[in-house]
Amino acid sequence: MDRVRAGDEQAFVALVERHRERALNIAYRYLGDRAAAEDLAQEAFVRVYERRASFRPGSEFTPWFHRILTNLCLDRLRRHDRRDDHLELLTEEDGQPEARTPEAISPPREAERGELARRVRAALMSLPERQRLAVILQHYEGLSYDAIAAALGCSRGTVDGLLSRARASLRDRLQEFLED
Amino acid sequence: MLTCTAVRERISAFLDGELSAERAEAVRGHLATCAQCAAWHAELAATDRLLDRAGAIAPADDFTAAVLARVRARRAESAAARLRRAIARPWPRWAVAASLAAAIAIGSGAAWLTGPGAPPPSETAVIARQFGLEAFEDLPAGSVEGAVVDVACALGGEGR
Repeated sequence: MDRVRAGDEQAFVALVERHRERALNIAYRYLGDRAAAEDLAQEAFVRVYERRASFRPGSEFTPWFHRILTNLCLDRLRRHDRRDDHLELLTEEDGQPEARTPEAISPPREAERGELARRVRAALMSLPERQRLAVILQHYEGLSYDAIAAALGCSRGTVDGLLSRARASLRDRLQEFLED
Repeated sequence: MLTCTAVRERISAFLDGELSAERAEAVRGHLATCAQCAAWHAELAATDRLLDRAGAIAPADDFTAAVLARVRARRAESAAARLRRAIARPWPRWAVAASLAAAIAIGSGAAWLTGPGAPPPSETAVIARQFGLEAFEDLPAGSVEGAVVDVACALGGEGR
């Protein structure tokens, strides 16, 4: 990041390559739409470049980047109010996320997996924005409550409350899929 | 000994490893003796595992190139905006006079280069083009400097 601050484009390219999948999936899980997620993730990196002078040397890049991403996520939905659009998109067959570890499974099993993935994403999208972000940052990014609080600009206690309520809602929506 | 209500308030933090060792131990102790809370804990843990089935997506091949294109476009926009602001700013009289002198010299030189047959541009036309003020080319040539300064003032505020 020091080299990026100095305007080194190659260093910036390396930074993008290293963090782009993370940024994209945070955005995708939040927005539920691939094209919107690509747009938001790209914009996040543009902001990294534009605000590179404000990055404190010696500090960690990821928490700073998470703040940029979460602010963009919250701003995006507030501006466009696309919640209903996302729920509709999630009923479509296209845009199925690719499995990170492909395995040989039968077509019926694959259909089940696809349906489950769709229902899990729909359940995530049904959460209020801040609960959804908290779940994404805790479960998929592995952030501590303190780190989530810093990203969301709230207290640790608020994070605890967001995640408690989110878990209860997700459990209700996905009850039929819970293992016996 | 924790109550069921207290345990349920702490279950989420317990699952995430965010309780102190002492509190985590208290929750664990309650779960070992309360079937209902243990069942709730198991369902929330299973819900967590389901989240892993949501899948992930890979970035498009041109993602990085698209980011770089946006950065460059944004830089170009900023430069253009700065230039527009600079042109709109009122110019001090000494700067206008210096530009006028340069424009007249260049205009005269250009007229010489185009040959004896070409009519030289008027002083007003030269200066107007210098400042992008073609609409004012018909102003009297007797007070060109004042005319340009007046226009600059009208565009950007008071002259200096």
